[in-house]
Amino acid sequence: MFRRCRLITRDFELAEIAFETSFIKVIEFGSNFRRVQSKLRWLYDQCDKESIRALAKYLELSSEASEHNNWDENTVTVASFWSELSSGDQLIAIRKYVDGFSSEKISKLAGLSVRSVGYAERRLRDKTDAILEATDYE
Amino acid sequence: MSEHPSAFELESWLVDERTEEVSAHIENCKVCRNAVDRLELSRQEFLDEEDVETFLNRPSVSKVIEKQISTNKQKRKEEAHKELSEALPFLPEHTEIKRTYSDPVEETSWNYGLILTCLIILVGIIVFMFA
Repeated sequence: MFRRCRLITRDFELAEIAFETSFIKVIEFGSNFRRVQSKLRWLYDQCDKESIRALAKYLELSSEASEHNNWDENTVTVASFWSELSSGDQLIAIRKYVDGFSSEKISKLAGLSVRSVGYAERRLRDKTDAILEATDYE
Repeated sequence: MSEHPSAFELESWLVDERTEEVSAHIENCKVCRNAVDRLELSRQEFLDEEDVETFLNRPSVSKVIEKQISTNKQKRKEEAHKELSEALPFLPEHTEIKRTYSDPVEETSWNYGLILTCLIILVGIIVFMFA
């Protein structure tokens, strides 16, 4: 779970927050957790949501803060990337780059056509390129 | 050899959510076996960094656990009240639930009871005789 949070946030402290919050979700879910069919999938879904939420909060705070604050530029870039995606594209990005699923599998899981998944992947690539260009990472 | 399982499928396999297909693949594929070994190693390293007890005692986590325990207690109590009021609708709303059983009676208290009963009968006979 922690590894996944790190993979999404690319930031140790945000991953810690996301991991802890995800774990709290498990506690709050209580005995219902026993009825979940794929426990790993459920846990990972919590991690994904909390990681993206932690990044969004980080972005919000960094934009509100004065220039003197020491915000990590890499984390702000990652947070911007996720915040600019629609929830559907976020899900496809996670399935593709975190879960490592093929386009066919994603289309089956998401109930979309392979072509739609392909378009989403292209949008993701374009978004990444634009961000990399804007931040001079290339 | 078939296509490699996805990262998620390998992680599922590691936490015992296994499918025959992935198990068979891992058995025959060195790359995937190494990937699973690396995952297991990082899991172990993570657990070595902070044991479960320390994690559960983090203020934010322990606070939620305590809250959850008290909520569950309250929930169980409410459920018991609901069951009771359904079974016995004539009871007032805030009837306290009492234990439906008593502690096993010790042998000595039974003896005291017998002696007391005999004494009462004896006193009764005496009163009857002099009356």
